Amino acid sequence: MKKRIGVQFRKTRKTKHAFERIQACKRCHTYHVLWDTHCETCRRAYTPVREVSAAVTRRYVQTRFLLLGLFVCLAILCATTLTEIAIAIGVGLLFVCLFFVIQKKYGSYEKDAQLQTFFSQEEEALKKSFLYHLEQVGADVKAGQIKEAYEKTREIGYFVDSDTIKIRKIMFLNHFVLRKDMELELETLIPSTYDKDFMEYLREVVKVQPSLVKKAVLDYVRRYKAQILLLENGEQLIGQVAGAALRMRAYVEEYQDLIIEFIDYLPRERLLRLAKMIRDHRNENWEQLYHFAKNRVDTHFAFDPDFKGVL
Amino acid sequence: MKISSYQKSLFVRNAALVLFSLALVAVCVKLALGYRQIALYDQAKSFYDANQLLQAEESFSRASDMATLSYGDEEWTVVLTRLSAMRRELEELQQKLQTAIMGKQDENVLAAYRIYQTMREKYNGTAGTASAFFQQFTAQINLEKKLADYYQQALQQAKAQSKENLEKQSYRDESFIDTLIAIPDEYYGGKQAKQDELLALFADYEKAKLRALIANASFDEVITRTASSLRHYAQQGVDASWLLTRLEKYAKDELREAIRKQDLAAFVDMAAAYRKIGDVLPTDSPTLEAISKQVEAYFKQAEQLVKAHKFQKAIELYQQLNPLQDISKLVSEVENRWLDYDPGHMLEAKYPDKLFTKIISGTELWGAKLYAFGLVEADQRLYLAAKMPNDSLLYLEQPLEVDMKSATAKLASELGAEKAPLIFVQSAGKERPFAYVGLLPELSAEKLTRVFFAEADDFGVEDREHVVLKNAVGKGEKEYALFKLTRDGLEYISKLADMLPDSTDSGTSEPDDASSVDQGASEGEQTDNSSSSQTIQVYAGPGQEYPVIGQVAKDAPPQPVEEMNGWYRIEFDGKDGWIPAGKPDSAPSP
Repeated sequence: MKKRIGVQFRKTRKTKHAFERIQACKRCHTYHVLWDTHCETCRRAYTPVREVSAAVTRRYVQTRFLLLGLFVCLAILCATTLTEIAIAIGVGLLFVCLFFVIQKKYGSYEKDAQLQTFFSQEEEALKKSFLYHLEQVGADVKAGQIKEAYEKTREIGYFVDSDTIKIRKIMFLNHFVLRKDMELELETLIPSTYDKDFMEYLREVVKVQPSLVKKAVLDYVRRYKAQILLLENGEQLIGQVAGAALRMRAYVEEYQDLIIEFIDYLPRERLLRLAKMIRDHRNENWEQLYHFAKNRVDTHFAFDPDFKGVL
Repeated sequence: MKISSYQKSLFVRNAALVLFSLALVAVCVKLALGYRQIALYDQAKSFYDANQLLQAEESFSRASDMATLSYGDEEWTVVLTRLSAMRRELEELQQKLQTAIMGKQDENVLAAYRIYQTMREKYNGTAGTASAFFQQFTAQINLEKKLADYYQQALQQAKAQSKENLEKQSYRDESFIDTLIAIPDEYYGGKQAKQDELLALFADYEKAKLRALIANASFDEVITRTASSLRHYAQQGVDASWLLTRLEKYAKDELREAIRKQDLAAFVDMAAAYRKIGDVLPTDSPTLEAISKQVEAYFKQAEQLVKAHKFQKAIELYQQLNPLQDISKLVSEVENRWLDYDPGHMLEAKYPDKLFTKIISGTELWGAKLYAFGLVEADQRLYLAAKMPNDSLLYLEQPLEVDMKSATAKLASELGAEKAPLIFVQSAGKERPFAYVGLLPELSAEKLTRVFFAEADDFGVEDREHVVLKNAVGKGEKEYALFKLTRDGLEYISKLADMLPDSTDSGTSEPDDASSVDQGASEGEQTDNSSSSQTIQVYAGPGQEYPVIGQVAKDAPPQPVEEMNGWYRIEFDGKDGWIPAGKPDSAPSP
């Protein structure tokens, strides 16, 4: 039995978009997605990437104004008569005003469009920064700082959706004692193939936070049911997952087969919940489920007063 | 290193800012200059309206120099633009004039004066602003006064130099002539006044100069320098016929004096020098005509000398006249006539230092038109000269190994071909009283061939191809022997008669029909011949022309080594020796 350690995870920031987690060092031309506030190279404060992109957009606008002004100046320089000078100045001022109005009206849209362009242009630098963070994670692992490693991997995982990251996170999480008060994740850790460590983590999570079991988890368990049954106490694990699915009527309807198959491994409390749900939704084509549930209750809980009169 | 978008945007913005700033500064400058230009145009316009043309043009010119904007009334600006062009032209002219005056470059000053005159005629002829501006501006820059001051000064200096030259009698620097001619008419008081003044000045100067030159310089220098002056005047367009008249008179007098003194060399030198200045003389120059007549007279004199066979004097006269006329053809003609008259002159002309004992000459032999030959004792040679049908001269010579003191040469007209007889040389012999040499000139091959050499008591000609030798050395010894004349020499034919020991006295056995070429065998020599009957002469080579190197006993000759052309090679004193093979009674067969 592996020894688990008790930890307190750092609070992670809540953002509307993942890119809002990126910070930039204007001087070093590097990016940062962790919790540091100052660049470790130049000690300059990080700037949110949206601000940087906005600054770039602002400068392009300024450049356009300057170029317009330059052309107006050239027109004046090329003018050979007073009339030509007056026309050049007048037309130039008109253009500047027109451009100012357009910019005022549509400038905000340009900022969003420019952000997309900005990320395309900075793709290489971003990749470098992520690789640098992954190197930091490796160093933490070597130093035995698993918690630090997990927290960094978790932050990187907001941007990198790969089995490698997911499996690393699972491996790190399996080192910790999971508690109810922890900010745990489950759905974001589902690998594209069967993973034994994920099953181990799932077993622990279902115990402390069964609310994390959602449709993706249920699908995963149903898909790899055969492999799970080969595990020690595999039936109990599926039974716990099936019990967790009883939180929502939609899950019960969709995963009836799973619930029926592992109804014998449902804990008493989850079986009671199931019985009550069947009683409330008797006329909704739950006949088969009713039959198996009644059979189970009659067999094992016929004298349990809580089940009396439910089915 | 890739630049970030942030930095790139910063760089682009700042670059645009710099460009814009520069352009803005340029615009500010342009506007400021434009403002200033407009102000100057307005100022020029106000001056122009007030008829202050100089100020108007100055303001306009300054405004135009800015070249920032086009401004103002087109008609008015065209007028002022012309005034500006005129002002620049006059300023440039002033600059050129100033430079020329400072550098004392008369030609450039004159060029500037002419340009000024052209401009003055052009603008004075028109009425209006251009004429008024021209007068105002030239008055302002004092152009006319500068020219007048310069030319007045130049006139005075030129006159002073003329006087100084005459006083010092130094005529090397005559630049004042150019200066005086270059000074424009108006500074003399008009064209006619200039001509009169210059004519008087030049005539006085040249008269004094010619007088001084005649007194001090040679004829050649006088006419050369005067001709130089004439050329100079001609170049400057000055009529100097008065100087030419003086020169002709002087030259004619000098030539006449040389003829009177019969000084041919002086006449020729003067005449040649005078002809050299022909470019300044008129075609009907009386002096040149007189020279031609006199030269003609000298040629007639030379012809008279030729007719009198005084060829040398005629040639000398021609050669003296050489500087005046090409006499090579005439001299060649005289030389030919001299040769025709005396062919021996060929040798005398070719070898002037050699002393010929006697020169024999004639015509039409050996293919030559003329021939001459003679002996030179000091050289031990016979020299022959021939004039060939193509009039070329051919010289040949032949060394002779005979006693030249007693040698005589003559033409043996009985020997050899009729038109190619032999030259016969007779002299005292070594082993016999006489030595005889026959030479045949082969002019086509350019050589003089020795046909034979013989020593004998006497030599007689039988016919053109046969001779009779008395007691010849070698074959025919103690005989009257007949020899045939061949290209290789005399070939023994037969004995005609024995020679008695006292045959000289009795004269018996001598053939009657052999004509004697020469006489002179002596008694002593005959004695020698008698003693030689007991010995055989040993020669250095297979022939009697080789030197005798010793004698061997006739009754015990050495063993021959080989035979060649009737000669035996023997060993004699450790060397090769040759004895005649024609001794049947003594020489053994090899």
